[in-house]
Amino acid sequence: MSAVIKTTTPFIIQSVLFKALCVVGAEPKILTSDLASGLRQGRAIVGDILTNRSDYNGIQYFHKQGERWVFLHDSDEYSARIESQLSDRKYTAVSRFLTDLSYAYDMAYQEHVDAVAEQERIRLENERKARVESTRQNAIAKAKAQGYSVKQSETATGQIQLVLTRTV
Amino acid sequence: MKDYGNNFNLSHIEPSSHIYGPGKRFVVWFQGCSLACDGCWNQEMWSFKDKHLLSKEQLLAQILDAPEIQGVTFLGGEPLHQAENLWWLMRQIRKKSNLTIFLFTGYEQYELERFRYLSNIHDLCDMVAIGRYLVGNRNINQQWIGSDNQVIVYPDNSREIAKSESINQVEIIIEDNESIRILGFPDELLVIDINEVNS
Repeated sequence: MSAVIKTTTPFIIQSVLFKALCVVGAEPKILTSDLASGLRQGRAIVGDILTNRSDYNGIQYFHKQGERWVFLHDSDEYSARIESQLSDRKYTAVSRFLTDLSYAYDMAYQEHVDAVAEQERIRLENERKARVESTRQNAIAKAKAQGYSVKQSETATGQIQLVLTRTV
Repeated sequence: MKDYGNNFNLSHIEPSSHIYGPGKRFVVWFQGCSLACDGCWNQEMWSFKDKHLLSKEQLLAQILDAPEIQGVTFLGGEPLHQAENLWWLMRQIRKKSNLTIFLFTGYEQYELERFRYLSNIHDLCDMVAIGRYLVGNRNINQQWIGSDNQVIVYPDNSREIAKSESINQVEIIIEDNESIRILGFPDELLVIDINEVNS
């Protein structure tokens, strides 16, 4: 009765998949040992991502195989339904569900990439600022070692400006 | 010498420097100098080839837009090799702002008289550093000037009273890309030390 459907979109990143499942209304939950005791989770094991979709075999869920998250469900979608407190959730066929999920995953993936790029930009900017600060401190130390007093200001464009004055 | 039309041929601009005259100043280094003082600090500014051509209106606009400055300083190179445009610029600055004007020229007093520059200098400038840089009279401990033969004069229409002090001044600007720009009158040891900072 049961089969594995391998989707065309590779669901790789758990956080992105989780976000996409939220977008399509699948109310995802990570299966924990606490949660497992109170659920009819079928063959799902701790760490799998449960949805609010269920069928003859129990809850439809994602299981990680290798690098990919794979969707597991009854191949005939027998006795398929939505188990949700929210009344507006209607069951859609697995093929349609995965198509919608793929689209949502692509959107969430792009946001993820943008966030990673922003984090990397911030990391590089912080490194640059640290190097400028080091340069500033070294320049001040060198100047003071030669008897200069140092007054610091900033140019109109925010560059560090050191005025060195040595009284004769 | 070369005619640049309505443009200035400039070597460098420092929009807010603290060491080329009283207060914070917009500083303009002109490109081109035929005086060729022995030991000149800025020999790369001797050539009359175009370096940065900027229309006199654009330079005026930059000066008038510069925030919180007390004045403008012209040096080089030799600013008076571009005298006609410079007089125009100074007149506009006097007319449109309260910025004071400090001119550095390598010409001697008698040359300024011979070239009939004194009238404009007295009308337009607040301070003028006059005279060749003489390497034998090098003195980096006299504020604003580089050799002891040079003098600072306060023309008839001057609004400045600050006098040169016996100090050595250097300005260091650390760019966003971590490069360092050194301005002023550093001795060789300081230049070596500062260059080592990033090496």
